[in-house]
Amino acid sequence: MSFRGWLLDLYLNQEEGLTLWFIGEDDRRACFRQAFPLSFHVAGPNEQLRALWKRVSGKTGVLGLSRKQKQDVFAADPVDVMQIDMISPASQVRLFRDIEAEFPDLTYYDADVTIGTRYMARHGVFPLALCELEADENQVIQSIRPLNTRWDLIPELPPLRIFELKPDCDPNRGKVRSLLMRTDRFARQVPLDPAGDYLRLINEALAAYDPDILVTDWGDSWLIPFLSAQSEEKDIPLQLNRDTTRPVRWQKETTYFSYGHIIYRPEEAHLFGRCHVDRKSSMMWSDYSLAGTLEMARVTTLPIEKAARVSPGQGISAMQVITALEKDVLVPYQKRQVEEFKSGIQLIQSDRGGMIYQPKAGLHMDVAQVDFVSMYPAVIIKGNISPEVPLPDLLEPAREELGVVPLTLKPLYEKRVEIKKKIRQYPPDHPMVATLKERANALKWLLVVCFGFLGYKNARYGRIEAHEAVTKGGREVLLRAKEVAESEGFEVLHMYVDALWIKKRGCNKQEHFTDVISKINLHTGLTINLDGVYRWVAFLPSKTDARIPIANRYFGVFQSGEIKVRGLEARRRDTPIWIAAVQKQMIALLGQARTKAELSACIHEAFSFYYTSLQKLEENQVPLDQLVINGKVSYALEAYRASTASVRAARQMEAAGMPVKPGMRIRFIYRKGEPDVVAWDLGKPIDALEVNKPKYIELLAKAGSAVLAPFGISEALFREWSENRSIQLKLNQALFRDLRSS
Amino acid sequence: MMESYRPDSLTLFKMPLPPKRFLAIGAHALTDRMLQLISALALKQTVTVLDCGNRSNMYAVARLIRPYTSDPVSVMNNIRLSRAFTCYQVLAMIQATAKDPPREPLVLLDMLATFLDEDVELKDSQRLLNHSLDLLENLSYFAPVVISTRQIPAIAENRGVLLEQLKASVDVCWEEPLSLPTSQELQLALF
Repeated sequence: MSFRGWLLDLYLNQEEGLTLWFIGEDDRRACFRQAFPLSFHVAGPNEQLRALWKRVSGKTGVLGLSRKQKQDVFAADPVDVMQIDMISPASQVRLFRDIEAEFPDLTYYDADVTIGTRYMARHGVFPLALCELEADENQVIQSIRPLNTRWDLIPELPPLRIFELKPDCDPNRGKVRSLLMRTDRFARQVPLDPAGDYLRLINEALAAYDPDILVTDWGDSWLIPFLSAQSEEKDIPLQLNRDTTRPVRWQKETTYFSYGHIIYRPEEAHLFGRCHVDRKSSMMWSDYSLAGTLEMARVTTLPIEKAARVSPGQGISAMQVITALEKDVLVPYQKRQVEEFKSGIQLIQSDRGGMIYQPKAGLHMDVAQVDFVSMYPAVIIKGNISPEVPLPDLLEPAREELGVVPLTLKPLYEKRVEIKKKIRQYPPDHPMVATLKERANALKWLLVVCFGFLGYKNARYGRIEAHEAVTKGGREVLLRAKEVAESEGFEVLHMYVDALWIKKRGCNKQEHFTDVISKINLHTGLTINLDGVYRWVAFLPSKTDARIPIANRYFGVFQSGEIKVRGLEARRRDTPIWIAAVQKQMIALLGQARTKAELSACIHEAFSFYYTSLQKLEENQVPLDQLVINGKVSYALEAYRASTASVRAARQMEAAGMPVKPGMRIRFIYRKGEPDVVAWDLGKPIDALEVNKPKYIELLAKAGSAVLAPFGISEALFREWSENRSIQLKLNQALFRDLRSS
Repeated sequence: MMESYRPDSLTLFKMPLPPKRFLAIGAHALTDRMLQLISALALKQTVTVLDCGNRSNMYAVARLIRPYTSDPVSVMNNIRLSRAFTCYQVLAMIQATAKDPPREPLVLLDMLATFLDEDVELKDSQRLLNHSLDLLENLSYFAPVVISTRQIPAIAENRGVLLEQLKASVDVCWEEPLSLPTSQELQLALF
């Protein structure tokens, strides 16, 4: 029989092959099976390989053993390897586990590649790929081929059935009384009655609607564990899987280090035959939502459930493995490649980050911000920077044939550029724009992490020298851009890794910057875009020393009226919502000024708003949930010597029997007296009179003074005024003379 | 038999170092003092540094040598350095060094850092460390081998056996004394 449909889910089955679920073009959900024999490789000293040969010959699941020559990405010449052909992925996993323990010193390849990645490399099929397949009468696939690619700009997607299930409140904060079920056909609030009728209702709704994707809030950490426990306790069956032979699969909780942050991921509930996406444990949900998650799954070949939860680094890793498998390059199990010896002076010269040119602190009018489009990925592609390729001479590649890393990135980079172009073709309020933006964001994150991944310890295709070559290329690009801008008569106010802020008397419209941008493109070979022309932009000084400017801490208003803020309290995740909102509003009020002269009046308005906000705080008019600090603990609590506010709040939670793991967010409120913090998630009622107002005034003053600092108001003065209302603020007289005269 | 050693004020161990295995244990893997040692060695001879914990701050070394030389670049060129970011790489780096054993001192910075990685099973960490220590023993016949490490942090206390393994393998071990309470804490209240 022939079948056409989109691949939704793929997993190992008990019969030692694969189970695949498709969404048919006829809207039917169909399940198939497929045999999937595969190979892995082992290298090492001959005597050990001979011993291994004897050990695995004739073992269950082993189809054959042979000697091959294959390319190791880190070796100049092909290496001799033993190829072990296995009947199924499950038997390969078992055998590898055994022999790795017995022969730990051998080098293993292709031994731990995920099944989705292998399937993609062999059949070109990925999550949500439209496929055509031939199957026998037992639903066993005989052949399969994709009808589209991962790189389609506007892919033909299936009509997904999405079932939303969420509690009526945050289960960490209050008692859940009902659950909301919502689909495109119905919405229903189901009370949590003691008899457990809600379990029957959910079961019936799932069976009737038969969703492809179950979208939950707190599904991993609360909802699915709760429903499963209730189902068992009340003896009412609950079928969350489409594959009724399987129970929910639980993936263990984990804490890991990623880009300078300790991240905690709770236990995950994975389904078979359909996908569970928990919005609260999808780390990038706020950036790219469901459309971005599906895009991530398509291009990386990660299962949808995984694409929703893991960091983009795992996506990039999967893509590099596919590239390697397609090129018939071995995939190392453990990377053992070490850095070549350097001298002390070479290390100083090579181990540097991006170029930063400190800003000229203060207020600047008519400034253009120009950004290189995905600079580091572009440098990797242009310089052909890959672990197996000799390093480039600045941006000139050592060879033409692309290595594994740039070959992986190139289509991704090009797809993002095309999607961005597509976005510009639509009016901003067109329904396609939001979806395209979410997809572009997903691709952006993959591109962002690809550079860091070159230097990541566990990256299979990482190499520290390649990582350093990228930053070196980036610095070269920025220097060339600066030289071009200055030769065109522009003043460079600030440079930050991949962006420049430039100005020139008389240039305040987009077209005034077209020439310089074209010349930068020409001299660097990389694409640079005009981010916008600011009516004004303020670069902020250091909080500890007003004479020192701080890179990437600024705010400004584009000519379109759009406000851009970086490095301020409003951008920090731990800032209380209310303080962030006050700061944003103060900037928005300043943003009304089109000229220097108008700024003077706007400063007054911003200050008045600040004053009103301060009064609201003093009169207990700020809702408590908007004063919550979103802190974090990075280590186990016993490892802390100093007791920070987050740690004190976390200890309260632990004392109340709520487990605290490294990387967990800890929400709390500052209160008067002892204890000086209250953990928000304890759910205890807090009286507005208990709130430590001086502490919040201090936080508010910090946020407010950052906005007014460019106008000569120091944080210390601002704080003193906020606390006492008894000093005269001294404005920067020179600046104000300047403002009045313009 | 492990010897007790009296530390030199600048470099922990008396100079010149004999061809033995030295171990220094302390907070932050005694990075500052190890960099001082590297500087002192590099002023006189070639020194090979195997950085196992991202501790090789060459700017600090450059600052340290500046008062003692008019040719800091040559002195910095006396330092041969490689970095490892996983325990598999640490072993590979020591294996690569052992192929052509240096006749001058070998310094390993924060040697156990990557062996504490919870992604690597303890038995694998132990196996890799054993193998590494065997190679270091061979290397110590040619030149002194100085290793630094820190105490096992509470978060990885089940890996204390690795430090014991390391301590048992060296000829000389120096442990940073536990820090005393600050003077403020010792001061009795006057009133």
